[in-house]
Amino acid sequence: MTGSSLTQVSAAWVPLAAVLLLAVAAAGAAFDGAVAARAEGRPWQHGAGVPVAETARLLRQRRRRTVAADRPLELVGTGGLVVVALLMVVVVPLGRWTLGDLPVGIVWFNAMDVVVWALVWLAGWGPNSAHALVGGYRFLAQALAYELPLMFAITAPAVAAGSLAVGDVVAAQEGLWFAVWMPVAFLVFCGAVLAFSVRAPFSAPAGTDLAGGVLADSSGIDRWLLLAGRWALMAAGSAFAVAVFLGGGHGPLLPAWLWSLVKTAALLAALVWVRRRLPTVRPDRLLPFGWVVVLPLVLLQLLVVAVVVVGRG
Amino acid sequence: MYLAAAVMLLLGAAVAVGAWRLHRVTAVDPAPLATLPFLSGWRPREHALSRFHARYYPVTLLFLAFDVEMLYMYPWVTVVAEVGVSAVVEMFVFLGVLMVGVLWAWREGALRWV
Amino acid sequence: MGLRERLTTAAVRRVAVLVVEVPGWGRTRCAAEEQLRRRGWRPALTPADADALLVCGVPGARLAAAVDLVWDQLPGPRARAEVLDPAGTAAALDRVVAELSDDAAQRADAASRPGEPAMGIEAGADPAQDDAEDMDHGDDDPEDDSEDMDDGDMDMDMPMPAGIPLAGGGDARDGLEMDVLHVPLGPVLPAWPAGLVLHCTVQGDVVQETRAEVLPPDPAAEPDGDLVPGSPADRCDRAAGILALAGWADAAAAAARLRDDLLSPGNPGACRSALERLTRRVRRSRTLRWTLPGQLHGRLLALLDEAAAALTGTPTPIALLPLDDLAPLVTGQELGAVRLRVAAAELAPGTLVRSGAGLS
Repeated sequence: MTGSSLTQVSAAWVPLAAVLLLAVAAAGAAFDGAVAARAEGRPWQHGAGVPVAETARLLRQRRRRTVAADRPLELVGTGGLVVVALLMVVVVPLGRWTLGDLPVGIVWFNAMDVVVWALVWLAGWGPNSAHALVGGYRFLAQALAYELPLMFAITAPAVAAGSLAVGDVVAAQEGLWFAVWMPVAFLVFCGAVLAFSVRAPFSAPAGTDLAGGVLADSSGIDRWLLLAGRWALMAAGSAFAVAVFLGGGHGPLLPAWLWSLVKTAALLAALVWVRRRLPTVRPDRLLPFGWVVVLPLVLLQLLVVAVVVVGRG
Repeated sequence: MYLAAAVMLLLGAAVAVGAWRLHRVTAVDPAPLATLPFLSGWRPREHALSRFHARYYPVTLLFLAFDVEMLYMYPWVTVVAEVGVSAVVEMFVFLGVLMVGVLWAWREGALRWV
Repeated sequence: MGLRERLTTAAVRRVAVLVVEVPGWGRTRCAAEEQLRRRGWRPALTPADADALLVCGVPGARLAAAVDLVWDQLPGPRARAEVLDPAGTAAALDRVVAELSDDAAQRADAASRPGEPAMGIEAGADPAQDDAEDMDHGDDDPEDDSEDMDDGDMDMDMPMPAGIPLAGGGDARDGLEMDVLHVPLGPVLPAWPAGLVLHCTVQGDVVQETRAEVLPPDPAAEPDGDLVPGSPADRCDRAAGILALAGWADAAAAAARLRDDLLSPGNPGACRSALERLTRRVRRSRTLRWTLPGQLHGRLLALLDEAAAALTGTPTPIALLPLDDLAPLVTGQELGAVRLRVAAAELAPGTLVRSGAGLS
């Protein structure tokens, strides 16, 4: 491992990291509810309680088992999203502390986000329901559109830092955040976070036009796990973006850990705002756009970054 | 270093299993409801699980080409600064060739799937 | 036990209601949606998502069969209510929340439900007959020749889990053989015309063949009435449906609010400026223009312009779409596009049913 400024804390801190992630995810859901309440002409305070009310509702609601469902796969897809989101934050530092500054932290995050492909598809395949099945396949189409731009977008900071370790990437941003001089990569990554957490404009796999798509036939705690998993993925994606693009814990006055949290919360809020502002883009529109417009743009961004790095010598 | 990841995996699984366990206590009935899938109020004429026509399958092949390319990309990332110009030129010529392939596939209509 | 009570109290703060509209009860459905929004509740997309089933109107036999199956698919806690006019919605929803709060009754209901799934009937079947045999021959797609193949496959030794056959093959584009599913859309579906059933043959997510029909209300019942076609509220209601299907919840909420304001005697000036804001928002959204299938963005803007025109007293004459013209409009398209096109079509199921044109 290259010399990084991070302190690796013991694995005993894992539960705290998990609680923190789920708390940030819940805050994101509350903010989303508040924004939605404003749009419906009600005071925002009414909407902020949505996550609590929905959780209570789903805890009380019975689960469903559809006829001839592929039960084991359904459960993997249902329970897996939260697990993957938690695994993502293993490599995300909180200020100067990290659970594990893997030398291939960026590859780790990438691997985790690819697991989401399987999980969402399994959640769609499992219930033996036409709507959910179409939703699952929609996600694969969408994933084909966003995954390559995502991969190249998170490669750019790694090139600039000359390392795949998240700690080195954070250290390389002292003074200047990567988001500032690689804005395309940053924006594409933000879009990808919305996409792997199935949020508008990338929410077609769970769209209203499919009666909820992958969510169509799940109820009770199964539905809660899917919804909480999506929020946790969005929070984990924001946290990772803060580390690799927004300077991690770097910042004046406040302690580094607080900067990490504040930036994550701010980015998550911005993503929630974006998702409420935009309609859903159909995957068949997204696919050519992702390949013919976004992919070349990200590659150009990567080229610029590589040239700058070589130029600096 | 990977210990934290292993612990997190176990914890994540515990969260999911814990949620299912908790639900057994809080739900109006711990046993799931046996039901048909939702189909606008009708009984399905056949099971939904089937050979689904994923009409975007040509894109998956295109994707595979780039995905394999990522294998070279990751080690390349760590040596760009040391190796210098030749690393950049070689990688982007390679990426350029792949991109030409994408444009060709696009022109052939492989990205249009409805 | 205090904990359980608290859970119940928190759970009924935001009730998800699956609203079913019977042809002829459009105004009642709008009133119900307004009530939901006022209470901070939300419409449900599917029975799995719902705590309550609210039926607006008196369904005829086939529509009732579909509603009954959906009722059996609600996971529970569950409550069911029927409303026949806009004035009755508030009381009905109060009953719903009272039923949902009764934990002991909900547990008893859950315990009394059978361990086998409710099977309902197939989309083409007649509820008066016993449903066992008909399913294979309920010929809702007379032209569908792959269906005969299905039957042939089934008579051989295809496994039939839960009494439902596996999907059969059909030739897909690209010369592959891919399975064909029969997916009826409607009558119980959010943002969908009342009582409409679109019998779709689907391969992957593309609708290959369709046939449309409208399920009538109970002939003995007197419908309360729909929104007047072409009226500002009707235009906004359609716009809200399209926006909801386009996944733009906030804009859909704005359109629905506007519809409800237009329906209540109030401040027309405020409505006009709200309508302008909404129109601006829709016009400016490049994403919406990009994602809506051919001409639908223009259609959506036209709806809002027609609303504005009707508001100033010059309503645009509306040419209602004959039911037979619906199928050509949607055949060969992806499911999402089909939903959007149906929402944009000038269908008036209540009128169709009264004239007898929708009956099959």
